[in-house]
Amino acid sequence: MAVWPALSAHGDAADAFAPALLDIEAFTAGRVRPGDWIDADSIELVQDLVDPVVYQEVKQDRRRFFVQPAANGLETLFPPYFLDATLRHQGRARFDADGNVVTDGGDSWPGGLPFPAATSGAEVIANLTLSWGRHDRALYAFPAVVIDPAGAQAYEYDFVWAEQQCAGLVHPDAPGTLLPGHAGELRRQSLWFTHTNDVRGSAFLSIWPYDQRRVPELFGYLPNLKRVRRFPANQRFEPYMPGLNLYLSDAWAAGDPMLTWGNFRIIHRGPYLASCHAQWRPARANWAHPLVGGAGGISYFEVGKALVPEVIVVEAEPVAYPNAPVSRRRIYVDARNMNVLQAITYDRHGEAWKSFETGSGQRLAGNAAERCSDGRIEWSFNWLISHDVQANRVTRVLQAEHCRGNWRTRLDPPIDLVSEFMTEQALRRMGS
Amino acid sequence: MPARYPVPRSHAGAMARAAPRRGSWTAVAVAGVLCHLESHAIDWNLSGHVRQEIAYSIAANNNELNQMGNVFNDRITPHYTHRTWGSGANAAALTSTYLNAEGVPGFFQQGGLAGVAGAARRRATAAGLFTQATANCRFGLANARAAGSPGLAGTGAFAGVLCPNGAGSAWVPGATPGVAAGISAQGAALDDDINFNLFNTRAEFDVQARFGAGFAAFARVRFYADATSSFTDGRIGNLNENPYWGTRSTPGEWSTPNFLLDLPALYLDYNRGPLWIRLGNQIVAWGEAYFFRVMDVANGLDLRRHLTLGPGGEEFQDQRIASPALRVSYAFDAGPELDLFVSLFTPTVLPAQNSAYNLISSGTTLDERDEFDDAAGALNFGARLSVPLSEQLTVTAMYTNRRNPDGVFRYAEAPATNAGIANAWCAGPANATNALLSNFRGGALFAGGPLLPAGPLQGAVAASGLGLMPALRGGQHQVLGHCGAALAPDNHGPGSTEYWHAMGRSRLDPMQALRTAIDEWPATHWAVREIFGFGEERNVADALRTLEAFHGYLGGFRAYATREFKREQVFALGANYIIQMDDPHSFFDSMILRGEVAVTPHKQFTSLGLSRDYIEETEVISALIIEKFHRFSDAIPATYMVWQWMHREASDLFGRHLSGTETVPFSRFIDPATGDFTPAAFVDGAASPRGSGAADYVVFGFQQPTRSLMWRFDMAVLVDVEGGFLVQPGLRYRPGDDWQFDLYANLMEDGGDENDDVMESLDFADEIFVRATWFF
Repeated sequence: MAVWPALSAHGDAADAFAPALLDIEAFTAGRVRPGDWIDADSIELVQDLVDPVVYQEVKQDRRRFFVQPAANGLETLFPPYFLDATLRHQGRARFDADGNVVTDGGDSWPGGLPFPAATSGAEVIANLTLSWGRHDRALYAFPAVVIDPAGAQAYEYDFVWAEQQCAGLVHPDAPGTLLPGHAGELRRQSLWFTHTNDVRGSAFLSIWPYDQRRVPELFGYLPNLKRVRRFPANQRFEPYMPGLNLYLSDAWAAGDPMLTWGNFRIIHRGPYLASCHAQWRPARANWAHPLVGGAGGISYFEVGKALVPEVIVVEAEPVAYPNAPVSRRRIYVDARNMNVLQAITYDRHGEAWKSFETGSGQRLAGNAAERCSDGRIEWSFNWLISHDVQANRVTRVLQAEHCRGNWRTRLDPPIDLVSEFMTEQALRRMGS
Repeated sequence: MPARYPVPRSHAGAMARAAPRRGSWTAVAVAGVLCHLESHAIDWNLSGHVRQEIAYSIAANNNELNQMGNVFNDRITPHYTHRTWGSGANAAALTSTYLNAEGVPGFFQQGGLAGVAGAARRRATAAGLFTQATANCRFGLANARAAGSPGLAGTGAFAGVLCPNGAGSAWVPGATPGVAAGISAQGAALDDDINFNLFNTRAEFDVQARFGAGFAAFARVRFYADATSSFTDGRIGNLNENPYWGTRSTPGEWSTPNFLLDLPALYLDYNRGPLWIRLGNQIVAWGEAYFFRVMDVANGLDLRRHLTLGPGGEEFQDQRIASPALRVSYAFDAGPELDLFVSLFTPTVLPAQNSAYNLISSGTTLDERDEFDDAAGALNFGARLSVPLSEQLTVTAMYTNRRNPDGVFRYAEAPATNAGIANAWCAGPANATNALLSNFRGGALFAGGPLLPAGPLQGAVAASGLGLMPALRGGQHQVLGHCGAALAPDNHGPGSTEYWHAMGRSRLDPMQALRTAIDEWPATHWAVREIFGFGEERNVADALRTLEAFHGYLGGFRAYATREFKREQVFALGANYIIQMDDPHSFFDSMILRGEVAVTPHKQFTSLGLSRDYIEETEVISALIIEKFHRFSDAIPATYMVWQWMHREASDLFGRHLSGTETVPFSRFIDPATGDFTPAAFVDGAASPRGSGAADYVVFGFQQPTRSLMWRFDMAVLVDVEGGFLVQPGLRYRPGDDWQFDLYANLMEDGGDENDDVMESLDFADEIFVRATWFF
């Protein structure tokens, strides 16, 4: 039984997989058990379950992680309202003649995963692109740190990332599937820096058309200029700020309109160790994970990874970006919820250049839980590590409780995000 | 109660009608406020930086506008209208003669004109009639007094000049007949180099607070310590003070000569959905162009620190002057935006005189107190509407009503005492001309001249139909407030030939400026026209006659000037358009075109004669900007490139009226072989600037970062199409989050000496500058 039919029918993915794919102990013939630490001495035991970058980080750069028990329950894999929409609309998605996702009636996608049982690379990418954070609205407070090749902290930035879906609204209080006044838009997304002093007030706004052939509009406020400028949005492979190993193109490993990439192909399906459960640490200050690895012991989050019974590895190429430094991107997607787990970008010479590893899961930790408006437990991504393996610079970004400037992470906050944070005026206001 | 679903405010009403059970706009708003209040400890965020800036001059010449860089300091300047100069033809040449409305000539010329009739009376004054000094120099008046000068005709008035080489006024003991040009070590002592254009340390502290419920606040405190005076033997004066708010140059500052503490920002923000209100000391920056100020008219600039020569990519980041203001903005449908401001007028602050980037000639003292008082408290206000017409095209319309912060210059009333010297130009007891009339001992004023009775001669003056010395009226804004003249004797003041040089650099008309200094100022008019009888200066011979006579009597003198801040209205339209090509390989894909044009009807410009009668002309300024990010290689990030073109119909980049360009060099009026006047010296208007019909500037700049953005190479080139360019290469290094290092150079080349390109006004500013910044 395929994974999505099993999940949707039984609420659990277990029926779709052989027992060995559901239990790390069984998979490794007892050599690895939940609770074990995987480090340079033991990584060989799970070499086939990790990607080359994580393998190298553990093997050569003092990273370690612990093994978590697997969890395959449907509700542990999705934000509740996004799951509702996925279930409600399953089977209705198709690509129109232009390559955009529409319903069987030709309307824009009404929300949730369009292709929960993806069978092609394009379907996988569509799942990632149409809704990044899987909430109608979100504010993420991001403290970000850049670690230099010597393992020392080189840069520290705090920024806030805001998302507002304009199509495919899934919240039950939404007035429909489209945000009033934003016809033709897929989403608005802005980010603004609150630290360090030299970049504080720098703010950017992307307005994504629903048509995935078109590059988003990009506006920016630069404190030096004291005004909002329009930027060409086709340069998507440059760091936001010095040292920061994050590009427009990196967001959710699907930071560009999907039809500006091409040659999508599934190159692998198989088990994988990923940080897809219990990544929220509300008991720790600012939800921060312990740090580990690198020469200074601070390069990576010290996190757990659980066995994912099936990951889909998709490759894609940036066909619409001449002179992009990227030849292709290999994206590791959890077949159960179509969430990105890892993305490895390759340079023009075909060499691995940078990784984009994520941690996600339910907002549940012991007795602590974050719930959506109907009381069910929330789900979100929790952290990301972007590692330039050629320069050996690591950028780690925490979805924190708060960041400098008194900004707090909020999932579906009852705030008019567009007016507050996603207009040129808002960029100017948040600048200084 | 579960929170309601928020939608953009402008659609909330429609949504409520469509789905009444989902709540109302009010509920959404209340929910929004409550959510703001949820977090609600006030968050204070302190950050900032400390920066050391050093700029080292690599210019071949000093800033000639400074006393210490003035090339005339050591020159003993010959008087071309003295009878011993050249063949003597200059002294004998006839120049204009004053006749009042009733046809009465000046008092001292009445005897000489007795036999001249008709039109010939209008041009009957020998150029050398009153030129009694062979030369002039720095400290000439002081030397004459020290030598025991009895004054002109032994009256004590008009002590004359005496230069170190013996050149001087005929009545000064020690003056050697026939000795003229030379070099003065006494004047040369005024020379000094400014090697360090910048040598300062600054610390900026930013305090940011978010209070919840839509309120936030921001303050920036700037400490700025300037050490450039330590490298110039103390000849750099007070770098910071201006007589605007007491002695403050901006409303929120405190300063000493070398230290500045100010508040570049101090404001409170309130926002609620599409409404944003900002109240406090703030900046309003509008417009499409970088550096070229077309629509960017809300704030003046503070030019005290680094003029506008900082990194081009930072534009006016350190120059825009924040002013107390209320700004209200409303965004409709998350698209069109109406932006309004009302702000307190604050003038553009000029670099201090005798400082590295000084823009005002050392022969001029800027005294703006009265004129600022006239504008103090005035409000500027403006509105801007931006409308995105499509995803590619946004248009903007702007209106601003303001007191022009740059101001227009004119002569101002000089003080009764200047640099310790009683001002002999002023009406009153120190007036030299009146003293001459009072104390004249009878006989000829000069050997061979007409005979006059013994003084006091005021009665004879009145009897001849001429006026007496004007009476002072007191008070401000008067031409006869406390002096009645715009000039004052000064041992450091310029001599006659230097006048032409200074006028040219300042884009002024030496003829007009001389006439204004005489005719708009009653005390001067009375002395020069009604008593000495000099006619209007329409050509070089006329002007040299007047100048050399009075430089021979009083030595160098300086002019007083001021700025008036006239109200004006600026209307502007702008647009930006992003080109989207089907072929992503096209160089034009994602190229951004921007354009803007501003019209200022009846704008007031500085008169070329520094007159109160300003030039009035409707000014049209336009700019076209093309921006492009382009990846030339997959190995390096995209290169940011910008091309800009600015076209100005009435003024140059610094706002100087274009009728003042293309000055005629003084050498054209003196035959280099004989020293006599050339025929051009007698042609009316021949020495006036020829002017330009328009000014055009082109900018090309690019920024090329490395892959991590740790290094960035900058280049900016500004070309004045009249000739002249500025090249600014730069390198920025950002090794970590707490340090940044910058290395830049400003390299300028002017297009000649015709005063027709802006680089001629900045040719002293070639420099290399470095910055080291520590962030916290």
